[in-house]
Amino acid sequence: MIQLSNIFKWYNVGGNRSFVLKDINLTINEGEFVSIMGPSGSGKSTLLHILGLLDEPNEGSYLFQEQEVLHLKEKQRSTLYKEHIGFVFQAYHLIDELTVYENIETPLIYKNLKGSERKAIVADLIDRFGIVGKKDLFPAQLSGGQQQLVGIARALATTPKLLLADEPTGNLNSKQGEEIMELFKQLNQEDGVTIIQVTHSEKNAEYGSRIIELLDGQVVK
Amino acid sequence: MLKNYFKIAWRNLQKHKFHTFINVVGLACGLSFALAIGAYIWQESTFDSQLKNVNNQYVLQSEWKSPEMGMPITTLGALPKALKEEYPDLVRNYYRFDGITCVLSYGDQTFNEEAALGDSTLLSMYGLPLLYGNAATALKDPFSLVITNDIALKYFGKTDVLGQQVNVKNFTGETHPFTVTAVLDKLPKNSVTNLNESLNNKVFLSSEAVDFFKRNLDSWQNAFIVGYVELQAGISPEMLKQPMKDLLVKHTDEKVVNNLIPTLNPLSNYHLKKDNGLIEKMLFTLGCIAGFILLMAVVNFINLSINGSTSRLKEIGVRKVMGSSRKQLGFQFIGESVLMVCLAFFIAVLLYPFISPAFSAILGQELPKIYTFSYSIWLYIFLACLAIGLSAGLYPAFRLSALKTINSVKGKIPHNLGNTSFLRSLVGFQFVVALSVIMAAGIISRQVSLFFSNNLGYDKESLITVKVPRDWSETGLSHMKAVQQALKDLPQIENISLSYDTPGGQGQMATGVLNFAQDTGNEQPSVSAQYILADTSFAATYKIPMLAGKFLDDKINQDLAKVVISEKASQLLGFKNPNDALNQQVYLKPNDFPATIVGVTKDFYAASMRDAQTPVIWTNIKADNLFRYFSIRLNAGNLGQHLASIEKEWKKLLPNTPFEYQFMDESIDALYKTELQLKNAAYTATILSSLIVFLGIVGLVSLNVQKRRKEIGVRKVLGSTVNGIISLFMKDLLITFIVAIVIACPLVYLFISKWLQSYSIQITLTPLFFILPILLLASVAAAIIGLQTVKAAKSNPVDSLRDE
Repeated sequence: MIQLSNIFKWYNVGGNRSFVLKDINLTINEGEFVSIMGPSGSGKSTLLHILGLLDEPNEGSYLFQEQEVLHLKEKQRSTLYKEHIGFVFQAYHLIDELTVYENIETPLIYKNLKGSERKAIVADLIDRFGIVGKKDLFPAQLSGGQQQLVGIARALATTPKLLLADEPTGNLNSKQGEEIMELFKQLNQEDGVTIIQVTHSEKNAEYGSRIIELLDGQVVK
Repeated sequence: MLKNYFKIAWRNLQKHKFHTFINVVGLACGLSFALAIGAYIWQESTFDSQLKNVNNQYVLQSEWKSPEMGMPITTLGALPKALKEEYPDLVRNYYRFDGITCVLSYGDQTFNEEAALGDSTLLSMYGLPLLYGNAATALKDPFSLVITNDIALKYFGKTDVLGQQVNVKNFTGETHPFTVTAVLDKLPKNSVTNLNESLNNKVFLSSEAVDFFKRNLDSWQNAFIVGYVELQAGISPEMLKQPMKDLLVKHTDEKVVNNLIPTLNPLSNYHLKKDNGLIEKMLFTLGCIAGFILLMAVVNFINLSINGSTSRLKEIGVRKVMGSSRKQLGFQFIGESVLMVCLAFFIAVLLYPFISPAFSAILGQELPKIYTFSYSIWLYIFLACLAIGLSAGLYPAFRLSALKTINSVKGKIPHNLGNTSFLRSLVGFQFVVALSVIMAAGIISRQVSLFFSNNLGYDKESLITVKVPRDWSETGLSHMKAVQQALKDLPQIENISLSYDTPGGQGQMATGVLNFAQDTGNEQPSVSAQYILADTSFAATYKIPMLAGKFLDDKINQDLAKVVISEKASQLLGFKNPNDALNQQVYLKPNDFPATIVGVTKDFYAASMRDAQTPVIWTNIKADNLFRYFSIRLNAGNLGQHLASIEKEWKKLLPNTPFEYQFMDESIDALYKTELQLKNAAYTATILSSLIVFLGIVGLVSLNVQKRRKEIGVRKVLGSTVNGIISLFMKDLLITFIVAIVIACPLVYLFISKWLQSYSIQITLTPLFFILPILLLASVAAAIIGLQTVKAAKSNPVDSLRDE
């Protein structure tokens, strides 16, 4: 599903190249649940951003479903987001002005679905995540764990093949974190969603089927 | 999708209430101002548009080679009629009137009314709206009377007054009942019934009544008739040049043919072009002021929108990640700002009925009601909303949606955003406009107050003028003299004078000018002077000092006139010293009537201060029996009581003549109408532009504070004081402010000195006119920046330095 080859990413600092990623080669198959680990500054977030096409490497190639996806046009990229990739953020990044229901609905609007179809999908999701009672609340009225649930529901609304999560439990307490991880595992095993998560926690990493360790921009394991 | 945007937009506006408030209010202020001025401009520029066939309607006026032969706004009485009768292929119709003042009485009510003694074509030719009566026949009968609805209400208290009779007095004192044959609805603004400030007719008499008033409309010698013609379709005024010339040759003498060029001025733009385009110039100035204020408000709106949208970077990022295209984001931002502009316009339209009375006071004229706006105006308003919304939404739509998604998601405001030279120059532009407006307002108000200070050359305080019945015969004059003597004995009256004209007062000197020279013959160089027919107490009443000799006396010599001239006139005659002019002989043109100079007065402003002091010449009314006004100087004391007692005496002396007085101050106000408009508009603009520029500063500074939070934290940790941090932000705007000063000062100097040049008496421009506004604006701006930054400067650096 994903094939990264010879990915380099650097910043120019005072005439010297300061490498963030050095020669990353990585293949991730459909149905995998991968955890990326590493200390601060090892480049794991940058790697995830590159995987999510939020950032571009200075060198290398990135095949997504056998297609070169670097240097895509804005429009093609937003099509990829709409069809294949879902994001979950550490700080949830819900839209504060929209209710729970509307937040989950937004990506479906961009997908140009009809009102009735959107209604069905959103109803299904809030039912599945057990947030029916919260659907008319605004993000500020929810706890962190609940917000992250909404964030995941929103990411799943378009039934993406790939779910990218940047420290999804970073702002949560351990119990909430566990619940989220259980959910991820379930999504991976029952729905076959490919998941790549960045995490600091060994315990969370264990939920995945494979762990990639980064150090100073290079894959060490 | 649209619903979603709408919801977001609305909730966003609600969430940032303060921000929305200043943004919408600032724009609404600018828009209401522009709307009011726009409505005024629209009203003035469509002045005659409601007249029937307005594009074929012309007013026939005159260019005289020598000004004493006739007035420029009138024509020869017989000319319009002859044009229609002899050239029916060119001229479809004509209307003429003789403007007279007559006394109308109904029951115990008696008033002076300006009336038009004119052709019966008036009602049908222009399609004037009638409430009652028949347009075709209303003015056929010699004793018919057509009045406007407000005159009907004034006399009868109702408008349904067909067949009622009103007594009308002619100039010899005879009265005759006139029957109301038609009542006009509220007249649209037009130059037929309202040719200029002093000709605003509401009473219309038939041309058949000329005999009763002893007037003559059909004469080739009467050059004081207001004439209008309607040309046939497709006929241009140029095509009438030769026919008019031919008619003059056929019917008038050589002198008229050589001196008169009749001109046809289209009614479609007559109102704007009259008085050398005074109104058009004024409208242009007002339009510029409104345009700049609106531009400032729009700039502010853009500034504040950009400022507000940076707080939504995260939303932009998240939306992009969810698959929104840049186009969709752009639409969202543009939609939001259009929505906001529409809201502001909605407020402006709601405010309009409330602010229009204030603007009516400022402009000295009523503004059109909002429901009279034409569709095209609403279309323009809609387009303006769209354009302003677009331009305000474009920046966030393009700049912010183009930012790197990852930065947006992290809510990182890019370094260069909001600090660009673009935003700076916008604020700089606001400074320039605000500074210029404040400076100009100060200078204009100084100049205008100069007109009203007591340096006219005569004393305008406690001076009133009263119209008197005009029985221009010897008996009429001696009757008036008796009245004058009786009034003079009143303790309330210090002095009283009877004259044909009054200085400045009624807007124009109706008698015009009199030429005179030291030699006979028309080829000799002559002096044209304002001509005032007055009695012997004129100079004493107006307190015009004599430089040499005495004022007029009542010893009339039929062969040798006695004249008094002003200092300017004596200088123009070539006398260095006023005393040299005494007892010198001059000849009054055009008949070379000999006259002796018996006195020389000090100069004074007989007309407006726009022009230099004109030379003036007086002759005694006793020689011509012409008079129109009493000028009365009241004694000190309670003016209201004085006037009441004078009115009581007046009623006894002249029972059939209304006591309608006007204070000289008020007449002078009327004289400087456009200047007062300009002054008031400049004051309003000062307030508005200051408000807007301050809002602009608020917007810019709050953006800066938001962006430099971290820097503030670091500086504080390094030991900066609160003052140090505040001054950081002040310095930021200082350079922009200095650049604005450098641009504004010469700009204002250039335009204002050009404006001042149109006045013969000017204030001197001192640096203070420029320095004071700068200090004023600078100190208020500094106060605002201080208030806004003090919170950020005092905040705990721990909060600003923490990373997520």
